[in-house]
Amino acid sequence: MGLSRSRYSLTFPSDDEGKVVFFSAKTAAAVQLPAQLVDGMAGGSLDAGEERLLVELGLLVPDIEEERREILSFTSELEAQAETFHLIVFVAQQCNLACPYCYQGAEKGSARLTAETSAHLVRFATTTAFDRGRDLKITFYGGEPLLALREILRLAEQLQHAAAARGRTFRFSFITNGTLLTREAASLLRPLGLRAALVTLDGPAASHDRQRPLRNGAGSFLRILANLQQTWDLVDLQINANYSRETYREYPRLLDDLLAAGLGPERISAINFSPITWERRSPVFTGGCRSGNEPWLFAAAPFLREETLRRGFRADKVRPTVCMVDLAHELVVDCDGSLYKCPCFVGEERFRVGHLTSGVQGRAEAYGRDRWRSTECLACPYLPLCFGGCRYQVYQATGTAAAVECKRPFFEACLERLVVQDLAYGPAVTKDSVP
Amino acid sequence: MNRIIVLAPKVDKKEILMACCSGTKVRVAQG
Repeated sequence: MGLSRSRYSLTFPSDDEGKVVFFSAKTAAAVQLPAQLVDGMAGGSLDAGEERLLVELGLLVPDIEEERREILSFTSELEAQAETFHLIVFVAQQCNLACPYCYQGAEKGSARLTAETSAHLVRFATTTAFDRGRDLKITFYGGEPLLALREILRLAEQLQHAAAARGRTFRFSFITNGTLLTREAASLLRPLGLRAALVTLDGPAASHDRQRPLRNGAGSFLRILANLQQTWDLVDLQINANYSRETYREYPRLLDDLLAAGLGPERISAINFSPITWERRSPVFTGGCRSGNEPWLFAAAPFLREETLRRGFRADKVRPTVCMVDLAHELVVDCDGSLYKCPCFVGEERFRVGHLTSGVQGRAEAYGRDRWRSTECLACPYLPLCFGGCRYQVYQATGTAAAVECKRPFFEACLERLVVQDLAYGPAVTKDSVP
Repeated sequence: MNRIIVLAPKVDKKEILMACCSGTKVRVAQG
C-alpha cells in the first residue's frame, strides 16, 4: 500500500543476532524484527498483516505528509480529548526549608491564597471546567504548599461541592518537601480529593540534608522518611531526586535506604531523578548544569534510572512529552489569582497571561508557543519526545523562553539505553498490583 | 513463525507525559 517509515521512528541493535528494535517516538511502541525487514520495507517485503501491525503502532505511515499534519495537530488533539482541566496553584510563597539551589531564591514572600482568591478560583473552575463537562485536577505548589493547610482545606471543600453539584470530580496532589506531610494532614485531605504527593529527596541522608536543610540548619531527611512511612497507604507517593555532577554517584544509596525503611516499590509508585540546574536569577547559587546536553548527564541519567528500575521501582517511561504551555487546559495560578502558563515564570509580568477574574487573555508571546513547528524540529525523529523541550531550561541558557531547548544530543547519546531499560524491566510493581 | 515481535504497545493518549514532567524544575505528580 505504498507505506513509508515514520519520520519519528528509530532502530537500535537487538541482543538477537540479525534483528533490530524498531521504536516509535510518536507512540512509544517497540517491536523486534529482522534487520533486513526494516531495510526492505520500501521494497514491499512485509506481508499485509505485518504492514497493518506496523501502521497501527505508528512505525509505518501511509503518507509522510499526513504524518507531518498529524504531528502539527498533536497538541490540539490532546486538548480536544482532555477530560480533565489541570491547574497548578501556588498556595504559599513561604518555605520551611533553605535549599541553596532553590530557583525561587532565599528570600521568599509571605503571600498565601486568600479567601477572596479562593472564591475566584472556585468560580473560574466552575465555568472553565465543570460547566464544560470536564473534571478538575489541582497540583498544589509553593513555597511549601502544606504551610497553607488551612487554606487548602477551605478551597478543596468548596471545589468538592462545586464539582459534585455538576456531576464532575475534583482531585488534587502536592509538590511538597514532605516535612509537613503527616498522617494527620493526609487523613484530613484524603476525603477532600487528595490522591498523590511528589516529594523531593536529594539522595541519601547526608547529601539530602546538605541540599535541603530546615531553616534552622537541621536536617530534614529523617522527618520526611517518617512521614512517608506514615502516609503511603493514604497517598500515592512519588519521589523526585535532584542531583548534581558531584553527588549523583551516591544516589543509589537513597534507593537502598528507602527499601530498608520499608518504602519499596509497592509503597512508592515512582522515582525520578532530575539534574540541578544553574540559576540565571540567583545571586548566590553558581552550581548546577547549564544545559540538559552536558556530557556527564549522558552517563548520569541512564545510570540512575537503571539503578531505580533494577530495584523494582518504577520510573517515567520514554514516551511522548508535551509542555503544559502548549495545552490550553493547563494553567498556573499564583496566590493573587494571576494566571501563568509555567510555574517557573510565576511573578514575572511578561509571562502573566491573565487573572482568575478575567480568564486567559492573549497568546503570551513570551513563551514562544509555535517554537517547535519549524522545518528542523518537524524533521527530527525525537520531536514527539520533547516538543521543543523545557522553556525554563532554555530561558536559563539564553534569556528567552521562546527558543527551542534542543534535546537531540541527549537523545542521540541516551535514548537507546533508556528504551532498552523500559523493555528489560517491563511493567514494574505498582500499588494496584499488590493485594 | 512471526517475524515481528511486539515488545511494547503504543501508549494511550492519556498516558502522554504532561505538564512540566519534561522539565527539570517542577515535575508534576501524576495522580
